[in-house]
Amino acid sequence: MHLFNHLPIMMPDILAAPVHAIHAYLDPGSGSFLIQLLIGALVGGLVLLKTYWNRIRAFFSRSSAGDATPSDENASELNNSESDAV
Amino acid sequence: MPSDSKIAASFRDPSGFLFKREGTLYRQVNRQYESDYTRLMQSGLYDALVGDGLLISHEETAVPAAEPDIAYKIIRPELVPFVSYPYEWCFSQLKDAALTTLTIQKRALDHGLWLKDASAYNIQFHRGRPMLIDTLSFEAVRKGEPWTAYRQFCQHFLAPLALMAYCDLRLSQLLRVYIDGIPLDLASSLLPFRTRLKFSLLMHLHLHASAQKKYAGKQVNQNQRPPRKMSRNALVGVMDSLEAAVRGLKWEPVGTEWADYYADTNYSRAADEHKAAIIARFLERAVPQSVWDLGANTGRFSRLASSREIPTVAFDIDPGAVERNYQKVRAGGEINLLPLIMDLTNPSSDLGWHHRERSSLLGRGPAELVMALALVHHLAIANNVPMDQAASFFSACGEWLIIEFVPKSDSQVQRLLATREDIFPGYTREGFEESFGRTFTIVTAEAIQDSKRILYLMQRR
Repeated sequence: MHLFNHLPIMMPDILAAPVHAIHAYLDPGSGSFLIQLLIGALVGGLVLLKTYWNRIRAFFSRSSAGDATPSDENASELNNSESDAV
Repeated sequence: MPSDSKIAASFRDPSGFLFKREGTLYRQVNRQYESDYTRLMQSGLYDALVGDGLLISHEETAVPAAEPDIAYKIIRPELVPFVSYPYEWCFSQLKDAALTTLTIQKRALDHGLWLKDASAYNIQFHRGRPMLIDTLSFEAVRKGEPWTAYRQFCQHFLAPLALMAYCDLRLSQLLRVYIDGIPLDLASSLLPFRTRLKFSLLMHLHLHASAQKKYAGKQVNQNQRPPRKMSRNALVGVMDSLEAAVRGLKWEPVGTEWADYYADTNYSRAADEHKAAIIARFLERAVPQSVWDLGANTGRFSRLASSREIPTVAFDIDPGAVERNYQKVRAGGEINLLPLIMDLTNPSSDLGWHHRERSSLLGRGPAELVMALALVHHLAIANNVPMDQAASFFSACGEWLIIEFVPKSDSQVQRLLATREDIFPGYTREGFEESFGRTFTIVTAEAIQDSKRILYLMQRR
């Protein structure tokens, strides 16, 4: 695929990263490792942002709702992706 | 030493293996897996996953090991009544299996563990839900490293789901050919261009396929610089992205052959109710412990068995019918019914290494009772299967048989004959009874009211 050939220009550091022999019974594949590092770098920041965003929301919802409602709502939201997965 | 038979499907993983001894299934945990096993059991992950129906439960036993030199423990897993394979699942079954795998992976990460493999064959439908059956799939997270099973997840789940959603539902059958999941370069070449406009599919399938090709067999810049680390956030981000990719794939049954069959039947309401009443009586007479409903459509009559707490597998050739059936199972929380895709003229065969990794349909049987309702005319007339061969196949599937004979005068048979020459002079009630009578004892027969059809209860000779 031609698109991929341009990516080293976009993300040279990640794609030049070494892939060491992995002690696993599956062969993860060098290409699969590299693309995962690239995706991780792209979306990892979003996870961090989401965590902070949830903390900020938790802080404001706590201060606006007073002491009566702790961060239950926020907690259930965080767990949502797991509980409704099946 | 008792005679053990190793289960051929579990040979790849050096952590342990399954074996059968005197009819009981055990799993040997090898010494090399001791620390990961202990972590799974003591971290609380095992209890949490089993409690939520995501992992098969097991008991530790004191029975002698099958291979004592390398054994750490012998466990006895809870039995799954019928093992099914991804190429027999409908779209939503494969999608739910994918989401279950990701859910387990995320839970495991919270306990410092992850899945060391992401094989769709490690997921089974048990009590109506997908769950992981390989207790030895967990290992301690190797900090800083990407997920080893990422490639396998994409090949086993994401690629077939995308192909089903964007190209054709029948492409799930590629999983029969590619035992370790659909090669990503093949998936990428088959998927339409618009899938490249979706970030998650672009990354996990298309660019992933290109990266595999570009770096095939290479260790890039090894030992030249410190390795690039995968942060925890990056790892969680990849899981979130895979989950978004899977959730974004959808398929609705429209216009397939049988999905609206019940609306298009030639049965009157009275005939339908009478048919159900007769089948219920037959089931109460045979009292089977397991039922296969062959040609089950969306499971209307399968439920007569499963609602009696009989583990029932409802097979149909049409993925749309199986999809509807599965959605009903899920919506109703039904625990005894498993809908699966099966072409009876070419049923699942023995596959994989030594033909022993995945079993044929008959290799997973027999059931105690087989239902073949409104099926025999499709086999005999639409597929030219001689009647005695149909009888022989059904007798291999189970001891008891509930079978419906649909005569030539029936409008559904007329429809099948409308476009072809009638080369079936033996397709009569007498011919049917004679052919089946050679293999089965006809226990009883009842005509369905308000129709031309006859229901038989038969027992294998």
